[in-house]
Amino acid sequence: MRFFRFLDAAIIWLGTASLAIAAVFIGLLAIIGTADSLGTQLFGLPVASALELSQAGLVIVVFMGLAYAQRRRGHVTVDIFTQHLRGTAHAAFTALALIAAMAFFGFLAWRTGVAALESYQIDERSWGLTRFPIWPSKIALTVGCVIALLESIRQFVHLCLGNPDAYETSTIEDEEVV
Amino acid sequence: MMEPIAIGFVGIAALILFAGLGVPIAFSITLVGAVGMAVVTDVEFVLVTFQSLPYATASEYAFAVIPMFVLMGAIASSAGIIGELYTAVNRWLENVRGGLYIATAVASAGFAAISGSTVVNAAMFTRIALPEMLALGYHKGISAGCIAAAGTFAALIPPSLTFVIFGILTGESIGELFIAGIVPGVLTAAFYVVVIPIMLKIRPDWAPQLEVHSTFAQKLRGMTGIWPMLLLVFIVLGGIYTGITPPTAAGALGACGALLIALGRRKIGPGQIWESVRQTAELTSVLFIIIIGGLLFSRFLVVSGFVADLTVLVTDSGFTPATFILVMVLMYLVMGMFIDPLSMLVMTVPFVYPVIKSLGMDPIWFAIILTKMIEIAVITPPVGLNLFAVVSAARGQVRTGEMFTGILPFVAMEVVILGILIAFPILSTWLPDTMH
Repeated sequence: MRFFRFLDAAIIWLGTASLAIAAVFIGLLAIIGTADSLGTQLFGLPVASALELSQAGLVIVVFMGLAYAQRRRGHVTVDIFTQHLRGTAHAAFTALALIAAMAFFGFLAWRTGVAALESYQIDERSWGLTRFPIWPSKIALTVGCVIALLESIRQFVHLCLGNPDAYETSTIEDEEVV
Repeated sequence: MMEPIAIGFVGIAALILFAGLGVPIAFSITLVGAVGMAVVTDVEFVLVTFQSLPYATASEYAFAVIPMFVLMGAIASSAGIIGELYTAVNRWLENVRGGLYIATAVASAGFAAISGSTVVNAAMFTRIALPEMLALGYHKGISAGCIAAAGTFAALIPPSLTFVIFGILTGESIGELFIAGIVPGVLTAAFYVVVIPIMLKIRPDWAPQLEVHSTFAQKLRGMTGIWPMLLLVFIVLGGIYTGITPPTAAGALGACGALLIALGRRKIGPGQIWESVRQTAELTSVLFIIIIGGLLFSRFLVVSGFVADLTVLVTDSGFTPATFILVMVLMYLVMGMFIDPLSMLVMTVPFVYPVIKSLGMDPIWFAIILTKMIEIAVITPPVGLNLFAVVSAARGQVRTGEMFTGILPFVAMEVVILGILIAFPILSTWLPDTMH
């Protein structure tokens, strides 16, 4: 039992740590974009490899935040039919959503993992003056998917153990943006 | 083998079924798209697509516009700009009957130029404006309705996330879409400013006449807090309009500028900065996997032959652009009563957009009409996200029933504005046309 508690805590920690990495890269994206824009317009001095850095940074932001969004059940859901369900029916639909999440993250982790491995093996780099390495961001993409998969499995195990509220929920302001 | 049209409709039906069963839209749309592609092509095609599409989408520099503008809005929101904006506008309108309704509309339009989220707008204004409205004896339902409706301005006034997602799904210029939203957005806010006093002439019991007199100096002082942020908005949108900065760089500039302004005015601390970045990270992930799913689903509809056949079917059946728009309006209004706008967008744009193009309609104009319909959808009961955002943020001060009746005059106003935008496409296309 202690081992499972350790696993549970470790997955939560991984989700938070990957979110922190995403947060750092959001800051970097803003700083690089600003510096490049001001540097180019005011001094004719763009930031070297700003485009490649931003591309890599965006991939990390998108996929490193996935596990945290999954933990907070932040994904957009049409819940008009399921929101009033209680008990077993509610658990059944939650299980269906989690199975879909595991299939989604598992499949994505597998295929992007294959792409990341190939990219690493050939030392894939961008075209241009600076041959910026692409494989680290491809690996980060797969790692983000794997952590999100682990989080979905953690939630599913909790649900099976009759503890469906063992994960956070997001507020209404966080859920919808459009 | 089934006809492409039938395959496409089976895919759409499966998507609606999965989404209706509570499976998050990103997973539903991706899994249906993957299975659909495997059926109409082969498994190898699906494997290769999944290997390349997620990275190709997430590494597209132009799409970094999403986290940048989300961050800008989150920082401005944490720094209390909404409260200052609302107070500043209110001081100029305090003697007008229903001044708080108009102040909410104007301030919401102003904040929409920083934030791209309708729900955030509605929730934030509920906390700031609703207590004051209720304390001064304003009508509860109309107050809540006004806040929910004014919150939707964020969908049309740039930087709008609806436009970004539409741009990503269709390949239309995000910069042009942003600029196209300015006139219809300002028109909507102006319509509220003109029609609310007329509405209150008919129903004066909906708002009291107040006798408060701020001096001119007090009114001017109220403006001092908001001008740096408004200047920033002007620079950001001006940069996009003139083409000096692409939308992504403008977003980065906006995010850093908002942070510097908030720090300079000691309006934000480390905790709020972390909260802003955390929200941005979570939202970016959520949005991107929906977009990736939408692109996969779109690819399925294309390779199945559904899009090509549907386009031929619509053009051969004698649909005029006007009839098609009418059908679209009805479809989106009905869908919007039950489905959230983001889901509606990714589920329908992949097949509606090619038909729009084939009928010779201006896609930028259509994006404006679509966004206006989304605005109406988020305030139409029974599933109007902004309605729930207001009721939830009101913390018991407004009941759902009061909200549902209070929103009706504003839904009527929005339908009239939609009609104006449909009748006069130039309102949507004139400003982006001047960019070329």
